[in-house]
Amino acid sequence: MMQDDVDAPLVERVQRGDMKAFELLVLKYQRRIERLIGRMVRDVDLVPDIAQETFVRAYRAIGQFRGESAFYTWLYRIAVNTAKRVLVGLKRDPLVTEAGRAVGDDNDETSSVENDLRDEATPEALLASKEIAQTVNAAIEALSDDLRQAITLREIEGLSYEEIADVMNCPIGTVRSRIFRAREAIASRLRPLLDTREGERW
Amino acid sequence: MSRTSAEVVRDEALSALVDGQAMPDELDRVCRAWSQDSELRRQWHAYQLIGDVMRSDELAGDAARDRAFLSDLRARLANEPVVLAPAMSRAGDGDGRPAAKGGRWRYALAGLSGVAVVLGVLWVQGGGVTGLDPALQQITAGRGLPENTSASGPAGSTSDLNEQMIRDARLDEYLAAHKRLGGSSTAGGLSRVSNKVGGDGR
Repeated sequence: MMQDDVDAPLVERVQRGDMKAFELLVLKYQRRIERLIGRMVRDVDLVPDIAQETFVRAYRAIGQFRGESAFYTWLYRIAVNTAKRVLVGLKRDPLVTEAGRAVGDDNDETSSVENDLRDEATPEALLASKEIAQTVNAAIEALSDDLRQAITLREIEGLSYEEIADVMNCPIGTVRSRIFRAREAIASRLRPLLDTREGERW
Repeated sequence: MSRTSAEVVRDEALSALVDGQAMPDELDRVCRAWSQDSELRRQWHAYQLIGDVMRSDELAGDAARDRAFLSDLRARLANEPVVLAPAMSRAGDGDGRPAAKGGRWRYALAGLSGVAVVLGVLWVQGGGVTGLDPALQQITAGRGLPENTSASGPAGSTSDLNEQMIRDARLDEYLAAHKRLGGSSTAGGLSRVSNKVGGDGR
């Protein structure tokens, strides 16, 4: 139910009118939703658009979300439905596939290579992904046992703070602090890899 | 990299929020700061990415891509009108009266012009507002969501919510004038019912 959903505080905040708070949920689920859609839709160029559409629909409908399922379950269903609609649309109209391609460049000839390779399919992007994964793993290995156990129990085992406090035989405040310090340590190692280029900001 | 203690406190609140364990005042502070603090947004993204990557290497990816996604989505969401469902009973509210039965209404009025603007949340007692006339559009066009409309804690009694009424003298005058006319409120969307603002009553 809603009470057990870690997203509940943010969702309720959005429902009360703080629509900017929706962005926190977007940043949380965008990667997972894109992966899901990528498994359903063969044309990878369509994935970001369908993912965007998913979030727009969720934004519109969030006032009616009642917490009968977890927020992510609800969002997941919207993603699946949105992707299905697109697939049905594609079946009906073969020309839609053409429209689905990224057509932003005036010089079709010179940019055809870029059009064929999506951002994350380029060798550089694949390398960057690998590096991020390796850095996270290395950073976790480098943590002290307490910090590593705390963050692993939380992120991988999905235990609540209370459950972790039980397992680790420490106060909840300590759990909260350990998880925070683990994240800090990992995030600082990641920072050079994630840093904004000139002019780009969150 | 040296960090201020304020940044540490901010990031620890953020870490707790990732796990759905933030205190109400921490949630409030994060959400209020969200639009202004790009560091905050960067950290939230980093913490979420760490969790994703721990669970699946597949989700590791270039942060630039995620930034672009959010940026594109913001543009799309900016065109969305914000309409809240009438306040229904929610876990913790205790007030089960449906809004239509003279209970307190809560709804946001969206601008009628091409770019929808969030006008805020109005609390109207008793009677309702029969739609927008051009004067009100003038008054409220361009206003973002006022700070004081966001609830800082779990849904409390309706008297808490009363305190979050927008204070704008012209708006108050307008509402006072329309209260006299009575009429039914529109849930969500707007209907231009009548431009008659006279002593007719209706």
